[in-house]
Amino acid sequence: MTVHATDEWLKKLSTSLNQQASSTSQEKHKIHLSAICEPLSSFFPEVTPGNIQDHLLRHGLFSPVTSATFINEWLNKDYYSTVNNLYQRCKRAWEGPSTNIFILPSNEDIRELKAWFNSNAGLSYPDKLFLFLSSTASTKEIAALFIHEYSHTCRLHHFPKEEFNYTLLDAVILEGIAEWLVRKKIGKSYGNKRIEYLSDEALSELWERWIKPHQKIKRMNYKHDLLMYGSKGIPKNIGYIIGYNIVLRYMEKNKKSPRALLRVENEEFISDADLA
Amino acid sequence: MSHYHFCNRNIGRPVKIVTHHGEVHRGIIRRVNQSQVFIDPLGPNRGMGGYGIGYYGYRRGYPWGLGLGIALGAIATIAFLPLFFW
Repeated sequence: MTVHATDEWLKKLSTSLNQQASSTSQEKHKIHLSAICEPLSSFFPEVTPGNIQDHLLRHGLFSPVTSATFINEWLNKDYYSTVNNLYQRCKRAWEGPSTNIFILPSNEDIRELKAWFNSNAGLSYPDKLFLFLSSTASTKEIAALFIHEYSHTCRLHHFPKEEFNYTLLDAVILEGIAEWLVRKKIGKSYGNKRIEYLSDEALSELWERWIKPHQKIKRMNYKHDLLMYGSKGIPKNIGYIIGYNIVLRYMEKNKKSPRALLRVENEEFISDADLA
Repeated sequence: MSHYHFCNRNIGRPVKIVTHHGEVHRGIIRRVNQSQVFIDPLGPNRGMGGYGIGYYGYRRGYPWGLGLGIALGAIATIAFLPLFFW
């Protein structure tokens, strides 16, 4: 359980790309699969490297057609020690679990990711987390992303249920805690830029409309991601916005440490935000 | 309107497709050509979940992992997934 040596994987990828400079995009796709996704197989025992690749690409992993030059420049940034320091500090302060951390470049060609997240993205699980960092990520941006993702790992670690049983309400509260911690620790201008303060009336109205009736739907239900991320007719990141506002209200009433906040039951948040 | 035109005009929207064989697919239209439509299937994603920050992408012309291809000739019906199907 550690910050894994993904720099070694990236060096191999870069060497393969240089050796096969004229490869087609399909060949580059295979090189990317073998250098980055095959080593991840043991962390996703039930799926193929192709499934892993497809999933991570959708969450902002750098594209298979990225050039070797770009990868080498990214490696020169040496994000590893920054992340390791953050990991040790948060782990101690939050009494968090050991986890597996994978740091990789992000896809800077995705316009939406660039506009809203400065091309930094992440993904977390109870036993592992991914940080997809842009080649220009600042220390504060890395800290914001790390806090967001590691807070998920900490909270999920204490959940007494299997991942496939997580509900929409679990996700709303998870994201709310993550975004609250980022703003508290790093600053108001960090975190998901779509998140805004809602008046009590607006929060209550949005909660009743989008989350309350569906709060028990499971993680794998197709409605789950539409409600969290948005879709045509569903506001962008509505699950995150509602979650942040719920946690904000809870923390105004209860001055808790991050360690304690990460362990509060969903129902407590809902009742303190007067949404029960 | 042909299935091709319907799909082409509605890239990015969630739809339900029923084929002549009775298979039902739910997904978001990613792209379409003269023979197939590619959708990003909604629903169980093979245990790959996880919690991401703010981004879950599908986009036009994404050149890999094209999603699920369905032959236009095999489509019996295609309809928007109503937003209030909940």
